[in-house]
Amino acid sequence: MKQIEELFYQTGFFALEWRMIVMWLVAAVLLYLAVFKKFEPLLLVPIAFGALLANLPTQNMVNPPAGPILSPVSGTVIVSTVELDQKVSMPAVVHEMPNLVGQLKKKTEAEALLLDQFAKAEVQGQTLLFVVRPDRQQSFAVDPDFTEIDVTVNSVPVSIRSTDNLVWANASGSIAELEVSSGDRVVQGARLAQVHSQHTGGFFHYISLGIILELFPPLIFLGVGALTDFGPLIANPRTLLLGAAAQFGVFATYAGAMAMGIFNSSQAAAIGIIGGADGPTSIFLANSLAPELLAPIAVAAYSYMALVPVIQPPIMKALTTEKERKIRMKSLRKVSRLEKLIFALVVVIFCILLVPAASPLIGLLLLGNFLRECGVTERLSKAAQNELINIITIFLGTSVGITMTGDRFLKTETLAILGLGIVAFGIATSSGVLMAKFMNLFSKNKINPLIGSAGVSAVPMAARVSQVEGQKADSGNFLLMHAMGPNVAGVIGTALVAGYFMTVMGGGH
Amino acid sequence: MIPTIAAFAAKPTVMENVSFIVIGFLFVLVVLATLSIVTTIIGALCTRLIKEPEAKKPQAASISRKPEPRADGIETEGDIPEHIIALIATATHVILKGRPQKIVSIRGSSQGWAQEGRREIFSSHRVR
Repeated sequence: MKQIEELFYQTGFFALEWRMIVMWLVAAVLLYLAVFKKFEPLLLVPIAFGALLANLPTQNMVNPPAGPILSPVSGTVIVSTVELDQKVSMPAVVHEMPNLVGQLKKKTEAEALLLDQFAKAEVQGQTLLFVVRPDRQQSFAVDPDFTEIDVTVNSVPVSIRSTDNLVWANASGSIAELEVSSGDRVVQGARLAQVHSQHTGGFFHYISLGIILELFPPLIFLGVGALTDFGPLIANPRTLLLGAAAQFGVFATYAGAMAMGIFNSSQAAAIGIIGGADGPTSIFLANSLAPELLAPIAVAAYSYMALVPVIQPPIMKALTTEKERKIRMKSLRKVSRLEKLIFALVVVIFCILLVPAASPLIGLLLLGNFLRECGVTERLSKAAQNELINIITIFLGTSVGITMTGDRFLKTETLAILGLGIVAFGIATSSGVLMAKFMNLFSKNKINPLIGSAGVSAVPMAARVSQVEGQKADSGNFLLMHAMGPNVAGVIGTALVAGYFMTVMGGGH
Repeated sequence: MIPTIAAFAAKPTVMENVSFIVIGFLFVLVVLATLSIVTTIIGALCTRLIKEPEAKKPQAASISRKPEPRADGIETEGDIPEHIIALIATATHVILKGRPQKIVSIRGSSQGWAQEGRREIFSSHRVR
């Protein structure tokens, strides 16, 4: 009977929390949109399923393997709670813990967390291993309501500051090596302790390395490049300006995020890129500048890309007259293979020289395109267009979804990001349309302003929206190929903006 | 430019933010505008390069490529020896399993061998 009772306590039911149930509903909504409304299903299904897995009390799924515990900053160890050969046990459901004491804004919360961990340390049940006081203090987007907390650790009074770093265990095991004790100086990346375990880490821990090591977004770009025909852009190079104008949405959203006062500049930049309507670039930048916001940013980017046919048309109609929507554009000339090859080489050299931080995206985008256009690597081009991009999409989607744990996702910041995302899309669409109208003031060959909205990337959905809206005004007007120009220019533009952000914020590697 | 902007603060002032946005947007605009000009130049050069040989080509092509009717009525590209024509006639006789046939024209196919090679590679294994 006792064994049955113990077995019952080992089931996942006792690890369930209300946030998990709420996230099941979020996953259900995403699955409904993907399966029944067909909103970007190739991405939303893996993301939603990953989110469901993230909010179940799984084992051997996301847990990292035991290994070295490294110092996050250069500074002084002010508290060490561990001893050699001590067992470290992670809870059944691992919550995201604050890296800085001041990430908890209320003194009572921070105090409760620290006292709880120090009390557990007395019976060797803690997961907080070290507190490190950094040499250079970090600033907060929103300052906490305290600067110091006085606690007693092992009968020794210690004053812990809001800027002190907390070093947590991330895997169960035993302390095999202990390199530091209280009062020791450490440099960033120095080994504080070694946790040993026979277990090797969960499946998604390794798959997610594709995002953390920034492998998946460039590989997706390789596939996108192999799928993209730059012909319409080369035939009408003016449309590059429409792709550039649409990037204003990114900068406007950055300003909006900064004005909200709850994000720092790196986080605001990562949120702003949602306006570029480019999923892989959003993930690439978020992982580099604000990894803690990766999940809401990816979900916002892909959800709004799916909603392009709903978001864009009202803005396009509001900013154009009936006459402008009826403008028929001059037929595009045929672009030779040589031109396409030279274009790929020129773009890759030019853009990488300007923003080396965007090299992985730009480089692989144009490599994919060169494979497509050169005509002698048909098999490689097809592999990039089909097998490679499909496999990476499954891994990327589920890896993003698996980060959507309740404690990360159910926050005010997530709602703010979702709100800012839609503003970003709106402004980007408007900027593209207005740029087309502005160009018409000086141009003999008029541009239909409806193609300006395709300057947000979202290939090829945004171009399709231009076509549909154009045909509503004039059923004989075919804008699709014209709209593909700004559409692919938007991809290059967003990658450039991401490179600019990484250069300025120092997020490049 | 990089040394000054690399020190961008986590909480920049309003003026720092404004200059960051203005510089960033202008940067993207200028880069893509330059790319637009470069693409236009490449397009003009390529169009000229392609047009020139094409203007010369038709005369030469019309002389060399026009199939010449032979005495036996078969149109060929250049001079094909009698024994090759006999070989082709035998091959078509075998392929058509002896059905009545008449060779009207013989033309070269530039990619035939490459296509056959590719067909052989793909048919050498079965896709499950």
